[in-house]
Amino acid sequence: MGVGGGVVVNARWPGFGGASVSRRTLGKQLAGAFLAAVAARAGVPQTLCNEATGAPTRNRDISPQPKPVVSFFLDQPYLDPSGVGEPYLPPQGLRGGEPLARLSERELRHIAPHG
Amino acid sequence: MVDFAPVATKVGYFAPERFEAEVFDCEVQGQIPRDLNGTFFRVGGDWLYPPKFADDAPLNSDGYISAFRFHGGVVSYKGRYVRTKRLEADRAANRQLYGYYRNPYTDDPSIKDPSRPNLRTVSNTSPLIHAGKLFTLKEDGLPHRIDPLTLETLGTWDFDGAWKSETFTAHPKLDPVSGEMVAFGYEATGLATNDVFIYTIDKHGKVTHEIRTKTPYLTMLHDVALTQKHFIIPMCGYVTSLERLQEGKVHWGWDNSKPGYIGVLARTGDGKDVRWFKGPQRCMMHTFNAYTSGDKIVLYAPFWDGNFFPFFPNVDGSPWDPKRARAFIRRITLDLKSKSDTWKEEILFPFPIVDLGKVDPRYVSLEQRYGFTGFADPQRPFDEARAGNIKGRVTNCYGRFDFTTGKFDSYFAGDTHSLQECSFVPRPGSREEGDGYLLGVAQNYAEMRSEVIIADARNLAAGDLARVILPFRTSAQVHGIWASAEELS
Repeated sequence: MGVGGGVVVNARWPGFGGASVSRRTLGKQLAGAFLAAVAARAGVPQTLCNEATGAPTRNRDISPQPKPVVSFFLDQPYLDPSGVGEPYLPPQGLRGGEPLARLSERELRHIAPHG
Repeated sequence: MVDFAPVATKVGYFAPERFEAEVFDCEVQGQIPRDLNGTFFRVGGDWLYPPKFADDAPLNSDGYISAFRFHGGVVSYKGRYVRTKRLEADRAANRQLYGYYRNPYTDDPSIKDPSRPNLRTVSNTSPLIHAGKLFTLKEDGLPHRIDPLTLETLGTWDFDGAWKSETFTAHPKLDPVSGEMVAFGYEATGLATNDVFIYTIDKHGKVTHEIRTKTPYLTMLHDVALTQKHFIIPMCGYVTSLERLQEGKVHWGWDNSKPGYIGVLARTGDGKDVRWFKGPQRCMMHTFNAYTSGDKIVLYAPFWDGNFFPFFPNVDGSPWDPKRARAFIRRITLDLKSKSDTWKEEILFPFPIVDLGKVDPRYVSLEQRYGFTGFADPQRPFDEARAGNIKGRVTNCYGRFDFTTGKFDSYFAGDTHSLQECSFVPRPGSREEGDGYLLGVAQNYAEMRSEVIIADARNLAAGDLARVILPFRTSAQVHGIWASAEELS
């Protein structure tokens, strides 16, 4: 049994890892959350992010704040407003059928002959 | 229009499920033990509509009950939303009307009613079977009665009017000796009150005893422990107030200045008898079990060092500290004869575990030896390319922990899996503690599906006896229970 003296639950991380498609995707997802967090600090009601993005002029004068990050704890992603948590980077294509991506064209046609 | 895209945490594998499902005769790998006859009920949350606030607690998602029914080596699955008043109101409005977790002041004006906070419960925490009835539970509302075959919601339940608390815990305790249930409600008389009502309910479902008491400060009372003589109330450092709620904040904040308290009272006593022991701050969320031995009470519990919910902020404004979000299996001894009002605490295993622990249900309230729970073993392999960059951060093992010898045995779920809370199933015909099966759902991040694992609880290292494969992701579980065919008949 290989359990050591402690598990690094969520090591401090200064920012994102290397640039990738996942990073861009994550960045897009985080944009709304970031605006919502800024709105909260400014006392603006923190409604859904797309509503928050509808009020940019109220938030433009806010000084730079930590960028919230989606991190991972207790087997779930969570939004870390402090921005210091290790980002959660899901594998590419997870919702697009990542298991299928490993198949050859022949194998894929066998499973889904009509594409 | 439903749009989850702005909710940054609802991505990929963790996107809401949003459908109800039935799978007859599930795919199985291995051999389902023939003596495994009954149902594995699970309750958790699944957002039907996106949360009103992007940083809301996941604990605020809509209740969802699922059932894996085992009979003669065949397993079938069913999953349904719990039809709470809240879910029905959202469905009628085609949008999320409800605000932050347990804060009615943030609700849509069309349904806002801070005087009746229990009407906004999502009933998403635990299943319960008692006196032949199945319920879903959440600590901010009354139980919802569920048809055990169809999983149809039959309405809320107040024990024929005898249950006077506005709330009902997600962790009632079932006494295997008497068949009684001892349950409680906190914030029992309304939002931000520190009233606690405790009830004994006999094996036929009738309330037989009531205790009313108060806690030293208003806090979350999530779980308790029961012995044959005593009722144990661990408190943790989460705080709230009407002011906090009226300011539009999520219900709980974490107060680093609050000490730990554990209350003890006789099961047959009244509220004036409660004795509060005081100790170092702990986040006392779940328990394994407790028993009374002479003048001492021994409590086994997987308590956290500090705030472990990153979505319940520290009230002093400091950032959430992951170093304190670690739970250890602790043995806490309360000496009822001592004049000291504190306790002795021992950490039984040196590594952190997940605090969703179980014991053999035949030993609840009695002296027992084994506890079962999940933990993250960072030494085990994890395929980050297929399952994400979460090596060391997923619950990849179940353990059987021997509280008397310090030994443990572990089960590994696989290199793209994380495990939800396990349930222990006694082997039919056996009376030996810990002789049975361990059941739990593994989330397979690479294959976008859920798998029920079945292992021999006496030999976890041997791996699966069988796996039940769902062709989709089932909703995230908070707690689950096993009900034998006899309990449901």
